Amino acid sequence: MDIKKLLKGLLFIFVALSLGVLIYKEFSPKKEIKATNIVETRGEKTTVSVEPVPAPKSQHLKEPATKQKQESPAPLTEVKSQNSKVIAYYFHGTFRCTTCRTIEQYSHDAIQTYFAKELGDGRLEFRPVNIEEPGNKHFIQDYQLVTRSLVLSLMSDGKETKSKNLADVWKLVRDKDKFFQYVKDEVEKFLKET
Amino acid sequence: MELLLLASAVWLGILTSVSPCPLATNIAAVSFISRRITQRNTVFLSGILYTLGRSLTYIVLGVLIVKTLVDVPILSDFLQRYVNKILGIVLILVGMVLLDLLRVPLSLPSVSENVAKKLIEKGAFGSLLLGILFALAFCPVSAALFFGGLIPLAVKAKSGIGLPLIYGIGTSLPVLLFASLVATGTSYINNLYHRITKVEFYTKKATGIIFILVGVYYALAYIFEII
Repeated sequence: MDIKKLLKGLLFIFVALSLGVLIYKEFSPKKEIKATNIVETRGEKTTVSVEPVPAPKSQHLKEPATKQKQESPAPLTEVKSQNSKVIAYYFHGTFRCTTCRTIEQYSHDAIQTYFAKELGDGRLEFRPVNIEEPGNKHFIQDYQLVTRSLVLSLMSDGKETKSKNLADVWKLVRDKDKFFQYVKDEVEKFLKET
Repeated sequence: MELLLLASAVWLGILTSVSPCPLATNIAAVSFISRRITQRNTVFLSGILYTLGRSLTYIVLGVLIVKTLVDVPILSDFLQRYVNKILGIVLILVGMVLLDLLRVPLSLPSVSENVAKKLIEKGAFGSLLLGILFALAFCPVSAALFFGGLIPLAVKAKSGIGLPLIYGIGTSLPVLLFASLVATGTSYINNLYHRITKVEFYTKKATGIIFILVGVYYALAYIFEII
């Protein structure tokens, strides 16, 4: 009987705590502060190829700092001379599932394997973005995202001229070779236009 | 052509149900459906109603998308963001009811009181609600398969009801199969040992515990975001 009461009490506390955290996270003032970043992020999106410093971007987009370091060691001068580039976005949420991690890993590895040179000279960039961060919500509309997605975006003179959602990543995730080939082909098509 | 569409819908449904991310809800569903383990007809009825519940959710979404101009990305984002968060809390509370830690005062609408009472007594009505709720709990894989796979097919075929219905059946097939295996297996053991009432006592408790564990998992993953 006592165990029952204890269990009941514990579960009620857990439920109350969950509700509390849920409500706090939804209405926390943090959200408003971040919301102001929308303007910044949007602004940055349009000036991305002119903007020579990659570091502040990672802050806005909440990317893991280490990844940013290895993926875009773009020398400042070279980026400045470019007026068009390709960004490969990987959009994910806060909850990371196994298949989604695989898709991110494959996308990252495929790009790293085939396009080391382009990554180096700043013509290509791989950017993981958490769409659940309030500042990134506009991406859902921009690219009509329904789930975790890999999207290629061609930026020219600070404006996006073309984009493609590589929806087949979900079909090919069980076949690593085909997945790599798919990403390679699609990125190549985009890079041709830079 | 028609047949191909139907086959794709079933296949997308099966893929959805066997992908790892709805695994936790599938375990909860199997244990809930096969809870009245000694009454094979009830297990069967629960399974049908669970399937119906899932299909109902997909049909409503399908009709919303095909017939009206609901914005699919926003709908998908909304469901993935909020349903999973609420699901954890709901599962814990249902688990507590199953363990008799909570009592629900039931006041039923008088019209179909008898029918509703019978359904609730058999625990089958709960299966319908469970199907509706679990179908709403989209995760990345199921969102990719439903919104990215099935919906484009349904839009093309202008089929807001048929294809989502078939897809819903597909998503519950493995759960149905497993539940009936469990029921067959245990009723065989029951017959051996003649401990029917005791077995039911334990299966109900086990279902309650599974619900609480799955609920805690969902809360930790989606509310506290620590898994």
